[in-house]
Amino acid sequence: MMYGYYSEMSDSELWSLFLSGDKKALSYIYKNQYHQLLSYGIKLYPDYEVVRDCIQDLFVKLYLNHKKLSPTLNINAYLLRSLKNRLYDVLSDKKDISSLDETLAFDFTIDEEFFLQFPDNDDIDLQKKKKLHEIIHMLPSRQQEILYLRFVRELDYVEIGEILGINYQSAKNLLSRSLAKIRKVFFSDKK
Amino acid sequence: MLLKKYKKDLDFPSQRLLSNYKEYERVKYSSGKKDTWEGIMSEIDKQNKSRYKRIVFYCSSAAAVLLVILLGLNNYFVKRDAIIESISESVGKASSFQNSEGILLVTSQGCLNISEKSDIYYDPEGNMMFSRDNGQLEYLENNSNYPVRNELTVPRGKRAKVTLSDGTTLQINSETTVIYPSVFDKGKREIYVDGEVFLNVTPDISSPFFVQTERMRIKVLGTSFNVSSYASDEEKSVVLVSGKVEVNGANKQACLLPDQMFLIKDSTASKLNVKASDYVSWTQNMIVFHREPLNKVFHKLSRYYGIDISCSSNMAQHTMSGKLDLKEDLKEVMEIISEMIPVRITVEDDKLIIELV
Repeated sequence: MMYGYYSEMSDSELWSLFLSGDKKALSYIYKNQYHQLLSYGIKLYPDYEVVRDCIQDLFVKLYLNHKKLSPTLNINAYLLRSLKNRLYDVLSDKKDISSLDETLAFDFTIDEEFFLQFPDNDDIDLQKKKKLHEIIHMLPSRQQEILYLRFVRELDYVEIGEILGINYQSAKNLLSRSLAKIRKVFFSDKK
Repeated sequence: MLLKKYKKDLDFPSQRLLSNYKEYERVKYSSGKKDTWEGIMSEIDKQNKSRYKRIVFYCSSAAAVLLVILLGLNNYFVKRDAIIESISESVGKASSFQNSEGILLVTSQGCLNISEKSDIYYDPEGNMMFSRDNGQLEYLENNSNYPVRNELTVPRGKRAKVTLSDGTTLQINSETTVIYPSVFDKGKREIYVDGEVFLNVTPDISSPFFVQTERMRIKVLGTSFNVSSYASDEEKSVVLVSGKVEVNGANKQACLLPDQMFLIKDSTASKLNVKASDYVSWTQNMIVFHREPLNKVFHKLSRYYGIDISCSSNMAQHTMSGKLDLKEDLKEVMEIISEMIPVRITVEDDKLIIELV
């Protein structure tokens, strides 16, 4: 019933409402963010059960600690970062810490299904899309991740930097390097 | 043509592909509704219980020792003085538990904590005046061109008073949320209420005033009336003090005259003649009861004072009539009640437990 009003709020308003103890605000956030967290988490660690547990844990912790949390301008970025940290925590109990970065390497696999959803595709167009994806998939995992965060999650460089643990300029450089590489490969062996 | 456009877009090939992917992900990953919010809530409940128990144990150990001794001596019948002592203890504790839940105003410009004693006042331009908890007076200029939406939440145990930009006054009872704009649009005034509010609406024939609640819509042409629409209460009502209002709710429409009530109970609406002053007495810190079942009496007190009160189920069979002065603190109100009806009051954690003797 009250959800209508939440949808008109900015992230910082909604978040501060939750921080002030509004439980419905958190359930609204959960409803909106769940699929985004799941799809990001799966790309870091392709085990549904583990990722889902982490998301649940994350929200339980948010709820219980809401008085200690800091404000945010972008809830999505905040939660993606928290989920990543949570995955690190959970997996560091199970795995060797030195191999964690490898374990949690971002893998941007796009399933075949995705390409089938464009009914007006002509063959050329479809080929191009698939080729593009192949190129993206060949990139180092950090470059795949930044493409995902920038263009799918539509985060800004500061938010991306916070998730990847780098500063604004490095995030910008990393993205432009990735794009340059895609462009180069895409055009170099054009048939 | 298409190819040409595509070529141009190739500068951002990733962007083109990936923005489609966002929608795809939304559909794909939200279909498996296995992980619901309810699942999270039950996990929270589990963890909360163990945590809450711990906190309460530490906080209340002193009070509990006192209480246990008294209980032992008097064979489960506590002397009234001692009850009163422990009530005031537990009231103090409850308020420290709920300190973070003060009166809160959320606007698109931010979140404000408002002093319990402060009136909130909007001038015709939508500028706002209020005072902080520390008594500091604040003035908030309305410098946005679009309508600013305000959401005022008054927790249990608190009340608030707001004057809107058109001069309409709202007296807002405990556990209530009101949503209103800083300035009303031309031709229409509208607010949203979840809880209980007494309104004194400034007449303006060119701009009717609407109050929207979960189950009712009230159209006003300048009048004073009381709306009670708590989501948790079975009964929702509108009581008219003066003027004229039109109410829509539960598939029924009715025009109210002064001293009439529109009541929704068990999903059916009816119109009754009442004494309106009894229903707005809370604005003067009084509650008037006419053969009110005791469980409802205690529910109202619980809301007003912001403390949990639980009572045995047989309470509903007994009624109480009279006037309670709520200017006193809960301690004195309970003292008065225990003189009127034979009840036993015990304190557990932050809760009053009331049983008939």
